[in-house]
Amino acid sequence: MNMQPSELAEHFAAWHDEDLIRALKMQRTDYETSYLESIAAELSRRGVDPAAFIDQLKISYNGEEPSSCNTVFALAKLTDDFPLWHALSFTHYFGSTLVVQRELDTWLVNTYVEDVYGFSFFVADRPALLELLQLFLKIEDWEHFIGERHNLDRWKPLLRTRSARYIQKVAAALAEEELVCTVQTPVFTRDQRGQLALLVSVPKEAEPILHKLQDRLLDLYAQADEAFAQNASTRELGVYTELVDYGLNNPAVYYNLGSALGESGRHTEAAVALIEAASLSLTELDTQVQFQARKGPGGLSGLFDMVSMLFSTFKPGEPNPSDALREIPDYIEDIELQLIRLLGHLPQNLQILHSLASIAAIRHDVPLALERYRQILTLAPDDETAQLYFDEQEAE
Amino acid sequence: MDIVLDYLKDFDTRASSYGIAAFCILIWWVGRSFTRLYHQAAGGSIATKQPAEQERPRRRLPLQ
Repeated sequence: MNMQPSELAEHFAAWHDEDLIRALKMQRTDYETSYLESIAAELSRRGVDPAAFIDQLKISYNGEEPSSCNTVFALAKLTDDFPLWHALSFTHYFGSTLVVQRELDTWLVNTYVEDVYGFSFFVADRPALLELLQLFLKIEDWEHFIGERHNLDRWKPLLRTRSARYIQKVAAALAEEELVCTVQTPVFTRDQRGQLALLVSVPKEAEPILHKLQDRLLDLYAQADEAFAQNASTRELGVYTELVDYGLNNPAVYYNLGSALGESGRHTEAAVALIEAASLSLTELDTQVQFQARKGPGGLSGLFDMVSMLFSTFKPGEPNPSDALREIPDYIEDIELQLIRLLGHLPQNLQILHSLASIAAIRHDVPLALERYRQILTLAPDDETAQLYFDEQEAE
Repeated sequence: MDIVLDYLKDFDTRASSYGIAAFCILIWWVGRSFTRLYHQAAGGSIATKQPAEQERPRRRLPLQ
């Protein structure tokens, strides 16, 4: 029954604008079409545009504090180069949430109603995802985008590692066999060691694929040893390059590659590999230092970040373990010796100096660390890490 | 084994028999240890060998 315009004001007098829009958008199945038309007419009479009214949403990037914005602003965040396994949540005006995560070739959408997880599904590409989100945020029918529903609470971790590249390799191998998987980052798992978790729905089918990959790695290890034993340096370098491509967090791979490159006279490349070996080793060594999610493991930046973290951990006035030299594994001493050798060829290489300074600092060899950082400041007077170390030492 | 047990039962009490047996085993074990130590110090098949001085830095690290 359609109401006359004169009846609308009286009938809906007790209804706020939000109540009318909730009825129109969220509870439309509870009302007859004619009544919904009356609600729309009343909103029109009040000069309220439902689409504009609900165009206030909240987005949150990787679980950070949500911020308010409109649909255009929110959807612009989902760029083509949105980082792999990062997540963006969209909460519409009436509180339902979709959390969207970038996967290797697809997008994973997790549904929540008032903070309660419902289910997940994959969307093939970005245009389809944007269309879905637009409908969701307008509170219109979007359910036809849902493919196979998954309950991620029932999925099992197949692998945990800090190496995003290795996880990516495994995920790609699973995708080739048409097995679905997703990755939980430490942002959500709160993993103290900064490990990513690869989750699969059917572990029994995924495990043989992982084992095949692991067998390939063992085969490459054997090939590298054999090439070294036979003095076949070109072949050995080829094997290590392939191993590096797997992104393993194995310092020995980078050490051996660096050492082989150094023996071939490729000092600059050797330095890069050995610095990576140092970074991985020291990161592994200091996992007891609280992991900070914003700092990525591995790489030179990871190394510097970690040293900064160690400086801040051992503040003056607190019990300081630096009174005695700290024991470090012998392979880190090997890395240090290799880097000292390389420094003879590349005396102005700041990255080598930083690595040596970091090793000295982590060993609590303060005089040597100061000497290294002094060398760095001679070459780069504005170097923040070196200055920070000096400031910390002066404060003590 | 039964023959040994019967023999030991001939002593005054079973407890003392077991004590004597344990003592004999102890004497045998101490003697054997001394003999092994002597061989290790004097050379021979089980002589303790000093590990060879390792070149540092190592050219390669074990991958596993």
